[in-house]
Amino acid sequence: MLIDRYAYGNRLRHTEPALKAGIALTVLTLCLALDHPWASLWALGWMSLLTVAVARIPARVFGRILFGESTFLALATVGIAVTLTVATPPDATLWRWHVGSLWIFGTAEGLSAALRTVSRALGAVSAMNFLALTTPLVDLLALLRRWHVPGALIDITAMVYRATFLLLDNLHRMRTAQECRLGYVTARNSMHSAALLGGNLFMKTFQQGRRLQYALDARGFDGELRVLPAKYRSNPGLALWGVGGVMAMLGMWRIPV
Amino acid sequence: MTPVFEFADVWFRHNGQSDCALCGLTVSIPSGEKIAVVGRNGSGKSTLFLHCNGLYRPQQGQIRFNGEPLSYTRAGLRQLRQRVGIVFQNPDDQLFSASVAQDISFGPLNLGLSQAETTRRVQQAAELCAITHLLDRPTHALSGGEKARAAMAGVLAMEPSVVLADELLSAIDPWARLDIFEILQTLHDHGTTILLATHDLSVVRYWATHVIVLQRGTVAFSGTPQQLLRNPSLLEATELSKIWWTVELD
Repeated sequence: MLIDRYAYGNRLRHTEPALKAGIALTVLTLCLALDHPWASLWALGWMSLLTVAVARIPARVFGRILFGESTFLALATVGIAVTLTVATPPDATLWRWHVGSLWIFGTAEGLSAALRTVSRALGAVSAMNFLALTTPLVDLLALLRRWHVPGALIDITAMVYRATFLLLDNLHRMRTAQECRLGYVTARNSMHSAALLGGNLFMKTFQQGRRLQYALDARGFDGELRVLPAKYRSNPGLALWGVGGVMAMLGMWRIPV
Repeated sequence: MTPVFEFADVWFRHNGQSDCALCGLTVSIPSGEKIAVVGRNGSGKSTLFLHCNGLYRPQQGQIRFNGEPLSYTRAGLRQLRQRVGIVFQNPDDQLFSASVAQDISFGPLNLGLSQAETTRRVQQAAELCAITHLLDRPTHALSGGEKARAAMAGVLAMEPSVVLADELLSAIDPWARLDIFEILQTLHDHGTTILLATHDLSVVRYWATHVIVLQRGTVAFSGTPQQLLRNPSLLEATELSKIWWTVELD
């Protein structure tokens, strides 16, 4: 919801989505291909700057989204930085704990690999954040259509996107109705109410789907959701930023680690 | 003048239900009128409308559109839906696209119109429904009244000669209702036949030029509002006497 709201209300909203997607995908590919911490950190900073300073997404919002992703990444890379074993660890460890019969330790190689992974992933997700926060899904779908992605896939994505909001709306209303009648006052009746809500939500969504089918048929639906393509503005400034950023990223790659 | 729709002994029963939704319904729907379709919940209003658009097919009986029997072939339905538009009770059932402009463009593009003509129609329908400032907005970010007008625009962009509005007024505020009535009046001035399903007798009294009362899947009355509202025994028979105090008669 938050991402969707900003995607519709940022300064790059009407910029050609192919340009934004081009920048984001190039940065994503370079982060993955170069596997260079400085290049990745540059990508993180550069994408953040584009999102906050150029698209005017509030830094607080961008930071909040990035924080969520970073936390997830940090948890995921613990396994790389920390080793758990029953065998005696090698001498070259940075730190070690002996807990019962278990050894928990970290090595310089493990820490380096974890940092590389985190920086690489953060650079890549910041590029995706830039795209998601500046480009509404409707523009992305139009772009995919231009790129000849199969129509059925695009139509399903569009319907799922729309249905997500209807589902959330239904969920909110049904839950409020249950709360008004003390549906969540104890743990026991909370579970009961949640189960009822799940079942009813499914039925309601199913019925809504059927009514949507009628509405589509009434307007001549024949298996393909045809809609007008949107009009966009070219943005030479952003294109220059894009080329400059990629050149700088390649320059960072030359720095020895 | 040939009636726009003629229903002759039409029967329809929903899957798995023992009661009929339309039970031998016979009615002539006059052309070029503002028609209020009145009846209690479950009286068959929505089922009648879905038959008019070819979404439901009678299990028995016949429906004629402009004097010709309805054709349920692909080409026949396409032609029918080009001329008969339906606005559903809940706009959320109708708005599927991510932006308002794209949603409105769906019908015209399905008619095989060019992008230029579709763009013209989208703009025209948006102007008629006073939503030009919303064209770029996502459909989920609209208010109830705005959704109703966007749904209406999506149908009007197909330039139908008959508009069916299924209890469109039931979930919107009085100001949004006025907007909808303005749109309907403009359509009527251009010769469009309008059928509006409603529970509101003030619509019958002040808006409609013809009224059809449905009762348990049959037509209890079809005629002018004056004929209905000045006939106490008829109001009694159609159960409208229980709610007729909602309007004042001269």
